[in-house]
Amino acid sequence: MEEFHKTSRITSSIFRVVCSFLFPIALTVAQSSSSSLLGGLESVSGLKKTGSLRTFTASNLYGHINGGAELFLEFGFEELLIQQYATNGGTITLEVYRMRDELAAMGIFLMQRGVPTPDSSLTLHHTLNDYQILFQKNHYLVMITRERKDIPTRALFELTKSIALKIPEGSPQDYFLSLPKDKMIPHSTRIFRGPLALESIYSFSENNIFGLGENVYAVSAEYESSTDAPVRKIVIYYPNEKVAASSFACIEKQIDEGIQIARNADGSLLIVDQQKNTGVIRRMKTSIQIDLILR
Amino acid sequence: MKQRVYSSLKDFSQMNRRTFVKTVGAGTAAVSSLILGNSYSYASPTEEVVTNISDFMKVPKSKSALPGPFPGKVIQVRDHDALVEDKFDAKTINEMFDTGLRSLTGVDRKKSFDLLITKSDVVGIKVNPVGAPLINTRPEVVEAVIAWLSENGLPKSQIIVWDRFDYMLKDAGFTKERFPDVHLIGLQTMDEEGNNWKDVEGKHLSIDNFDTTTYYYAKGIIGKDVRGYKDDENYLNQHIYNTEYSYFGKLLTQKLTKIINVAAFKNTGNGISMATKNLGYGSLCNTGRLHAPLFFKVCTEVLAAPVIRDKLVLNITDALRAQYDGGPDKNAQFVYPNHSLYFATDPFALDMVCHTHIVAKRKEMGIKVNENPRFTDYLHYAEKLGLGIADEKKINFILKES
Repeated sequence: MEEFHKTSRITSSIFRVVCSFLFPIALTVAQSSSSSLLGGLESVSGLKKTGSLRTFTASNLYGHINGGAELFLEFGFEELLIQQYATNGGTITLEVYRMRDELAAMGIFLMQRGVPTPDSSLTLHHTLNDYQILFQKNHYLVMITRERKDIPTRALFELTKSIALKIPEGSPQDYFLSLPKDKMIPHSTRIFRGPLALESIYSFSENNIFGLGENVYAVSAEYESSTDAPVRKIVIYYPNEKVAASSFACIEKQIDEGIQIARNADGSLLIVDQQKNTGVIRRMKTSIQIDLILR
Repeated sequence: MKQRVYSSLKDFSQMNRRTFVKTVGAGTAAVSSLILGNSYSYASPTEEVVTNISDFMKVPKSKSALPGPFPGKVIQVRDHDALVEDKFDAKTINEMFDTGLRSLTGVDRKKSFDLLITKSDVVGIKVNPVGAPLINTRPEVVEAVIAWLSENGLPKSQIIVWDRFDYMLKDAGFTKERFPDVHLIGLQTMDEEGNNWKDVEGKHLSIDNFDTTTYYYAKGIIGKDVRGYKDDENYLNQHIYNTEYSYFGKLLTQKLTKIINVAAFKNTGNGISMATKNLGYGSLCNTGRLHAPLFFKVCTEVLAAPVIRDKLVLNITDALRAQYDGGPDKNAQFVYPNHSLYFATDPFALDMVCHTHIVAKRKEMGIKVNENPRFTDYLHYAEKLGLGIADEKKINFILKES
């Protein structure tokens, strides 16, 4: 038995050492693989590359999409590749955004897609409209845009399928598992990783009042209610109780001056703003939970 | 991170007043004051950033200063023939320009020219090329403006189509081939690879394009540790300087005598990225540092600088194709044909009207709009400074439909 344990320890040590070499290599492979996604796409029927591949990182994304970069950076953006293709007299632009992780890609996808209009032939998280296919897979967000509606949709589909095949499957999760499903309004789910995304729903403060960021994110959905306004539920996850408690304690000090706030006997906070929107903010152990009625 | 199951809270919306009081604890002073509508506790206001707006306001206004001869007046011209099956019709757009101009000024094209421009002027047409090919300023609109200027005797050599970044102009269709006789100028270049933006002395290639005597100053706000920029080098590639000063382009301070602003119709979050933002962030360098602390306020204060305030004579917002969400970059999901051009001499009234219209569109499309006053405060601030009209009761909005 002792020999077995000794062997196990040695094996475990060797395993850890080997992994410590392999992990950075794997990471490098993942980081450099974005450009490999575009290899061989010219063979997609009717497409021909025009112009050179353009690459944007976090440091110059602003130069491509101006203020729109803020949201991508907030979620966790790593790299954007842009390649244009000519087909049947028109141009298709392919944009491949590599985000920090799958949560980031999903978060930005939900912000960008609106009410989705998917095509039944595609199994990805996607939406299709007159000009564009937008899809998310693993930690990638991909936009394929045609400049005119009369450029054949088939070309968009071929490109979508070709790239999607090259993106590894990842580990999809149901980030909204903790939210109740009953009466949830379809397509209302959102992920927040910073105040800019949160502000699309509601402005609590000019500051990052809940400390959202790389290690603190929120999930949200809207629910039918018996009144004329739905309820927007938000759950913010913290790494531990201490951080959650600290964040909750700062709310009263940092909340926007246009919002009235009162403390309930059970410690929850009640808010009312000038537009008569109301909310309850409650601290759980490692999360903060918010119910909002936005009129 | 382990996810907790959402605990079921009593549906806040079902609470009537009695239940509300019972739940939260009747008799507490805090709750009573909340119910009665009295203030209980407010956060301390965020500390104001000190800028050099007061320096701008000390300079006496010129004859052509904002808000121009028609404060608060906004014209929308709509014609469905302007955009049919994704094709822009130059002839219809030209007619829309004519209608808009006449409706704004009350006089014909020639007299409108005489009212706003002189033949000795050097006119800069500021476009917004971001979001090409879906949601940028259309070249057809700029062609209509150039035709008007040219037919009234302004030499094309005195017309400059410009933006902040040179390569973006080309991406949006503003090319030498299409505009052979006018100047196409970017205030700066930015090297996408990040390796070739310095000259032999280590300075930014575009550093001499900016006038260090004319600037927007924001105390304590510098371009270091700005989110998204790996280090100073990356920030400088894009913004040229990283100090407390954003310098105006020499194009504006030394060459242009008049500015025509042709923005695109799109959102940025719950606000808009249209007339005032087109110039507010497009006229100077070192703007990345301003986003977080000052965002919309920049749109007002930069336009208060005499170099813009006294030269900006006409604003056109290109809403032939519009985008109601996902901006300011293109997001095809939210792009829609709007068949409109808006006209004003007053960019703040123009933005207020367009903000109202985009909010209506967002609501129509089922988007829950955050109507916090933060997204329009900067327009009311402009009215306080005497730069334009933002009070909707005072705005004179006219719709011309073909």
